[in-house]
Amino acid sequence: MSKNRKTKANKKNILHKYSEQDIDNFKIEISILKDAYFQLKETKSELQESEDSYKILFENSHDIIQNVKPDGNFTFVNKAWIEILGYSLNEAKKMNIWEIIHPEHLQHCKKIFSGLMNGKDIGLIQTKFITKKGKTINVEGNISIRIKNGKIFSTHGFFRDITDRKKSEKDLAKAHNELEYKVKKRTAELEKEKASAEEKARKLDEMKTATLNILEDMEEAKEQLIEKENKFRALFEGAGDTIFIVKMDQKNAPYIIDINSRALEMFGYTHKQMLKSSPLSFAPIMQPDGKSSKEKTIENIKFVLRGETKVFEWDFLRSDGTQFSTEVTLNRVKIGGEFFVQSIVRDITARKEIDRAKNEFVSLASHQLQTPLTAIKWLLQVLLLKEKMTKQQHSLIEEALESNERMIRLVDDFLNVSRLDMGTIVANSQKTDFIKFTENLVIEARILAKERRQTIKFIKPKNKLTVYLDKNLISQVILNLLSNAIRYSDPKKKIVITIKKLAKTVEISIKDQGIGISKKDQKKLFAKFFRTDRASEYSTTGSGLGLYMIKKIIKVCKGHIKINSRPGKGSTFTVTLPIKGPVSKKEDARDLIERPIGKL
Amino acid sequence: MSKNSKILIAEDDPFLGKIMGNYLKDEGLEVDTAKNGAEALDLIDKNGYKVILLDLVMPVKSGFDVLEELKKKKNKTPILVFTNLSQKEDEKEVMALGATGYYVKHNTAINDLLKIVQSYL
Repeated sequence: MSKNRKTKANKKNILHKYSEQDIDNFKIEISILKDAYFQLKETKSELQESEDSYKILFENSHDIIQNVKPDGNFTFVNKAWIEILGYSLNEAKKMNIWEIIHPEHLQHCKKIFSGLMNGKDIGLIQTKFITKKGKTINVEGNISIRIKNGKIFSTHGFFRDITDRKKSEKDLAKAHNELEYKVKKRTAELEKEKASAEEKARKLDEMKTATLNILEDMEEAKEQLIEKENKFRALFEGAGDTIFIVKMDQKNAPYIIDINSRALEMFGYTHKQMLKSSPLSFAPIMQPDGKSSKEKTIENIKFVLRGETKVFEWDFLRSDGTQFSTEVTLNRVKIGGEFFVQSIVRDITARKEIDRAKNEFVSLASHQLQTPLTAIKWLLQVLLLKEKMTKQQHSLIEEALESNERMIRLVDDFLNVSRLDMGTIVANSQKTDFIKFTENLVIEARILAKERRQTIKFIKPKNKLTVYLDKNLISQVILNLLSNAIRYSDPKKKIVITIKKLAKTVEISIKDQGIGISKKDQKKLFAKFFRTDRASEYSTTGSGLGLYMIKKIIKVCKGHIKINSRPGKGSTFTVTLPIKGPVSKKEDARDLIERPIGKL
Repeated sequence: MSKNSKILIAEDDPFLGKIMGNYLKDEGLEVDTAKNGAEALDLIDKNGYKVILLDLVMPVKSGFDVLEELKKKKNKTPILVFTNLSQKEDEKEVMALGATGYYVKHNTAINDLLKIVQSYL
């Protein structure tokens, strides 16, 4: 306003000096100026208005607006900037842009800013500001540049606080993640359920397959069973022996539940007559050993039902009342989960007859052989005792006598083996002073050993030892072993016989320094007529029956024999016998019966 | 030696009987021989012997038969059984029938036979 007043005072002075023309010209000029002034004023007002509206826009904007000089100092910040960043306007005027940039983004923002200074288009940027209170705010915005005289003199930055959006985004992301997790979880659950369902389905399938397989197997098994049944039925029916299947009723009375056709032939009854009958109705009241058929049958069936097998001789009756000898084998059989007794009955009438005939023949033959052999023996002995003859004649007669003795022994052995084979030998145990008994045998053997200049050492326990044994049989065993030791050892060798008492047994071992027996030969040593090559080479005499008999006798006496030997290193035979003797039963001896069943 | 120091040999095998008889005679014994059990019983009845040597397996009457009959007659003469039956059962039976001794011929040396007989004279 002061300017206008000055212009009016100047105008009055100027009017005195200038003409009307001049004044008119002035007036025109003034009018033009006036117009120009009003125009200017109007423009100014318009500008003011525009500036005001911009200012309003700036000031009322919720966005952060800041003008920054190329050196980073602020030249302008808006109201939102102050509100959001928490600094006062005065504070802002002293600050530079880098003070509000989050340290994490500082490097990056400097790069952008320097790019901007070099005229690069930086587009939309996102960064983090730090408020006065240290709070991080996420912002998004852009920066433009202002150029004057071709130089950048300022930048305008517009930023929007997107913390909430970020948070929302984060929340959204979180929600999304949660959802995703939940979906995944549920999916997994569903997968699991599905897998479980699939597993169930698979198992069901498996079960189905297994069931089908079982059914198939069962079908096959059934077929096989039928086939087996047919086979067994054929075997059962075609057997040369009678077969009974016997069951025990509640009162312990046996009755026949099945028989084969051979039974009908053997006993002379019909199928109907035999089935469901007691097997006792086809046996005499007493068996040949004087025992009751009933008692023995029940005893045997009970024994077999425990899972044992029993073989014994038994007399039966035919429908015509004739009695016949059989050998019965009882076995336990399981049919349909139930136990029965299978009784295989073999007619041994013919075998019995053969056995008797053989026994008689052997006895007679050996007896008939022994008589002339005894005659020769005695004749030769008389010759040696009574006749005067040359030394050569004497030794020839002695050799003949020796051969004759061998023959006598051989015939004796044959007879003994035959009797052992037939099982007619039974151990008759007697209370025996075992040391004295053995000593006598040693004395006897020493006579033989003396001829070969060998010695027999007898090692015995100090205390008296009473053993129940069959003197006849055991003396055969010990003498035979001693004579083998003598026979298969070189002259001057030593033989040791040792008696040892063990808990329930007595042990007799005979150790020699003889030719010995290989492991291979040891396996065959107790076989009938077996002699090792070395033994045959060493001593031409010997029947190969000695150890066979020994083994048989020891079996009858319920003892054991074992051998420990090495070729060239001698042998040790160890016999173990029960101190209380064998529990003598007729069946024991029958164990020894060796006969090929097929040949009968 | 007294009149009744005679011994009887009952043996069915003539060769064996002859060897036994001759040997014992050589040793100074008086010997009679019987070919079977029946003959033996007759001779025992007639003569009476100091010792009887008896075989078991013989025709007409066996050694067992002889023993049985002599047992009935309450015989006191020693009866020594010389046999080739070597089974224990036979020995038991024979001893039960009153025999004095049981010897298996083929296991006995002839000079032992002499000693056995002499021990009963």
